[in-house]
Amino acid sequence: MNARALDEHLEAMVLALHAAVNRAMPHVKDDPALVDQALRDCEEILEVILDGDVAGWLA
Amino acid sequence: MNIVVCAKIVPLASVTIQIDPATKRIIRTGVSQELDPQAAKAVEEALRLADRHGGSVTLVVMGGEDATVGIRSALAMGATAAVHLSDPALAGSDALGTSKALAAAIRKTPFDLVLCATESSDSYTGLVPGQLAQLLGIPPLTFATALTVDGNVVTIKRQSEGGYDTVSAELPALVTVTTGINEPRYPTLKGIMGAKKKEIRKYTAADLGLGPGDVGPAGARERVLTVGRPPARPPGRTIKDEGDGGKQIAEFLAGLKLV
Repeated sequence: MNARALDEHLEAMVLALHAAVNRAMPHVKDDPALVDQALRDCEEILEVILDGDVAGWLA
Repeated sequence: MNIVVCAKIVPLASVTIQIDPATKRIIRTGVSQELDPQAAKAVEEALRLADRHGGSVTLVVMGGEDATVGIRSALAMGATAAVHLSDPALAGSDALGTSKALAAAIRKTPFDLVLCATESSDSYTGLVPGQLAQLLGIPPLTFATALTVDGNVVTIKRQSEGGYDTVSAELPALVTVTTGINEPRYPTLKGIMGAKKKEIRKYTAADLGLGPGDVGPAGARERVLTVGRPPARPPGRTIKDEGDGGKQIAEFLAGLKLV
């Protein structure tokens, strides 16, 4: 297993989650569509992480 | 339209930056890094232009091996390809050395427009864009709060103290974007997975025709002499309003020549 590639992939996932939250938070009150989309994007990423298909991530 | 975005990979915003007392450089080894949030705005602006006009967005980054995560972030946002200048010989370059390396890399890529952040969010020199424009022989349009391209002309709203100036130049040109220009998109899962297949070209200093006299510590003309903390701020003054609070505040501001 390429630990560095796995590290980088997980870091990219976490940074994307972080960016989605940062993008959505200022718009909680004024742009529900943007917030909903960010939540869906976060859910999608978290589901992939929870699936744990490491070989698939690095393919 | 071929757009090049010069970006920096910086320590995560949540990391307290540490300075190496010997080299007086920011310690980057072992520190989580990300695409500079300022540069992400330049990437976003480039992607919007490419959506409107077609063409490619190429990211150019100078940094160590651990810059890859930040580069992949930009690719996951939608950038077409990336160029990574990674070579120990480039470490310790000053702003001019960095500009020389970036300019040499950009010359290897067909480009109409170069976008940069106004300054990076770790060292804040703001020197590179101007030097880069000079080295590339193209006009720099700076502090853009809005940016449009019409035919062969790029027009920006240049932030000024009193509002903005409208400034235009013929392409090719370089534009620096301000923090307020947009809200960058974030990478989606599809973007992250797609980024793995995108090309990251790697160049060394030698690939760019640069020697120790151009880049690295030996080529640096800038020297950081000392690094210190800013002086402690004096305590604030509390004005208790006993009927003359407004007058006291006015006198205080007048004493500072602010009114």
